[in-house]
Amino acid sequence: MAEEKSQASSSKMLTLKASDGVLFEVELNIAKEMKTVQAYIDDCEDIETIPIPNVLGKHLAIVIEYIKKTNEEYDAEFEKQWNMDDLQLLLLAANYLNISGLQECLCKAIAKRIENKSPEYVRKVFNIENDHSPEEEAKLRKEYKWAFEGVDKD
Amino acid sequence: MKKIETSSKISLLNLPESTLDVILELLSPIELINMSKVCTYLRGKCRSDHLWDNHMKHKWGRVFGHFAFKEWQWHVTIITKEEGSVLNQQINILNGSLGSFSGSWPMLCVGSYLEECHNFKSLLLANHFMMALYLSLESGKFWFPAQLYRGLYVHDALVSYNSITDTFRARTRSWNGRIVGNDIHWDKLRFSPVETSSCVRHVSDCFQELKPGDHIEIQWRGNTQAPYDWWYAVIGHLDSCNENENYCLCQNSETLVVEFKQYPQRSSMRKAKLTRHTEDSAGNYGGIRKLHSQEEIQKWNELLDHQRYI
Repeated sequence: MAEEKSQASSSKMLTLKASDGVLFEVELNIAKEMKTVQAYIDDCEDIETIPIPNVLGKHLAIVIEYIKKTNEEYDAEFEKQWNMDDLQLLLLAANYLNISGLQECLCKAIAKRIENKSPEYVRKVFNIENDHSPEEEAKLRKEYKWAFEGVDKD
Repeated sequence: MKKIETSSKISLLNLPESTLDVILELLSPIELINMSKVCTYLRGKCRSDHLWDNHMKHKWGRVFGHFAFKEWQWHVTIITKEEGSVLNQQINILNGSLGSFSGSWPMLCVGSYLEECHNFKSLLLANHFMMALYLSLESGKFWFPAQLYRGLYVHDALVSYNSITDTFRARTRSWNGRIVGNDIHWDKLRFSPVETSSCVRHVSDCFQELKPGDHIEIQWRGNTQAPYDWWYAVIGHLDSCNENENYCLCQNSETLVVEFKQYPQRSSMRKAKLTRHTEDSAGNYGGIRKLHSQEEIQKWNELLDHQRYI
């Protein structure tokens, strides 16, 4: 639903500190969407600044914005703005912070970018090294073509 | 978790395995095959049974059932046995693998047939069973048992998929394997609900409890040399019964009335009288399967509405 998360009855603010030292002041109910942060708060009630050692400031900013604005329309447009490296880093952040909605959105985005792409493209864009031997490579190239004869190759 | 440096490039493989799994589950079969070529780690992940089982259920669940799966397991056993073993001799000159047999000569039925089975050997030896199964179906190489809707009866057949037209071809299950249909659409097929092949009389377990109003499928064949088909029918009342629910004793009678609603009331084809407890294997009627699922009954009624004689 398209709602800006409104201030809870307790207007407590929290500070999140990204890995590069950038500070973000967020409302408690926004921070609680990050289950990792929630667990932190549950453990130490009086805490005011929570360190997020695995996430850069630039990505934390994006994540916080996502939590504030998420809805169907926003999600559909959200993933288009980011390049592949950022998408993967955002997914790592969402995974660490344990935000299920954002994780799902980003997984779908990454899957979509793999659609109809060749193995070479995937390697380049995801920074994966080809560790097949030349013989294996040659064998794999031919494999299973016979199973999908009716489909377009990319 | 390791700290990520701004300068190092991030790789898909840095993601936690559970997250990678979520992404892979979103991929289509072709994309999974492409991904499996990227590196050795992804090759293992993209061939896992879990991923291909999802695709099996999603695409093939309606027409590929439990008994077809048993046939597949039979082929797996044959193909993965050592060269020269007795079982391996099942693979005939054309490199296909014959499935199970049922019935008795000359009324023999083949359970399934897998063409060019050597294609699947390396996948099967690596335990990627579901991927091999999916590919065998998609490529049309696996002729698996299914039932073909024809008006108000279903015919047991072996079907093979054509991915280009998204339709099926069908052969009879009798040993001659004659083609009995081409360009068959998905909605004309269903998976076989019983293991009994068309060459064998089904052993009914419901004779005792059948009463008027029950929906059934009953085997019927034109002559003893023909395979059985399954016809939809409803259990009817005896002629002597006034069809009053409270006084109907039809269930206790030795005579079972099977009513075919596609025929008009006065037609001689409308009702058949069978003996409840005699298994008359020489006659045209065979075993009975009682229908329990509303879905099945509804499907037959829809077909009846299309075909009703006026």
